[in-house]
Amino acid sequence: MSWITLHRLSEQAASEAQLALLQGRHAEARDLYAQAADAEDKALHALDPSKTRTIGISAVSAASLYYKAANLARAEEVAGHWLGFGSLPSFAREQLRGLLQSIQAEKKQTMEVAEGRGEYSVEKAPGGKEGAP
Amino acid sequence: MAGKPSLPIHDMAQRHHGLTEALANAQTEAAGVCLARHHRSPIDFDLDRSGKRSAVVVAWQPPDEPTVGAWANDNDATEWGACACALAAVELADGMVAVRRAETKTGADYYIAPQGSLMQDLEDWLRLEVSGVDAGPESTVNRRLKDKLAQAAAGRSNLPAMAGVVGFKARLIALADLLADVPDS
Repeated sequence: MSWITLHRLSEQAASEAQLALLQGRHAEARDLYAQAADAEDKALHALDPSKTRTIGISAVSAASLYYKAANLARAEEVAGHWLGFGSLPSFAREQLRGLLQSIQAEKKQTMEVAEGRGEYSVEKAPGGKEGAP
Repeated sequence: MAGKPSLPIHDMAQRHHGLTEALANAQTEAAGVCLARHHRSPIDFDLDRSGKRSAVVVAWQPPDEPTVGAWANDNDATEWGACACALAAVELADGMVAVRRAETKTGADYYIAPQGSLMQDLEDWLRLEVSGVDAGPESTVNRRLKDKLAQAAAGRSNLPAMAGVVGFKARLIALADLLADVPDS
């Protein structure tokens, strides 16, 4: 499938996820975000490498969607992979680095909870409440 | 209000292909809730496109009690409602529509293109940054827009973009280009 078809599938699932989240259907939202992430990830690999801006936007989308689906390991993997793409535009590099920082913070928080040292905030959990579109 | 254009906040999915019907309807509904907090339909708004002002008529279906209850979270309603109004303003002022949605860590960006554009990628289109102000005055709307311009000037984003700030109580929608295309790596 072409990038545009796969991206369209991703958009559709992500839009449904956003609505599910708004309506408090959190588990469903995470599943939909996971579907959207997989579609965007596939879309990325269908892009011509010369489309650097589209690759940047799509890479940020894929990693962000895995993050919203609470799949931190995959979000980290995707972000790390595309940060290694030499032609990645700086806006995408900056956003992927920010995402990696958030993932590290989430992981640290989860470890602290596991060790009984911290408090876990539901509002800050991936796949939880999100900000402005 | 004869002769003034209407802000096209209804049936947006038919024209904005980056919006699903469900999402567009939710945004329009949220806009109605936000507008009804301060005004009665229809009412004049100012549409400021890069300093040039014109009047537009905004009309909406007054929300019933369940709808108001469903949008009890003021921030959600303001954000979603601002999206509808900003996209409609871009459509009216520039003839551009949302064509693609792209995710960010905390939300989503919309990419806008001239109506009827054929597109296979996102190399040439503008990103739209939307912000909503519920009860603040016009000065708050203008300040929010200036903040976005300052961020862009400081190089925090090198994507060509447009900002749209919607002041529901202030009856003002301000649109401005954030920066020209910047050559990248």
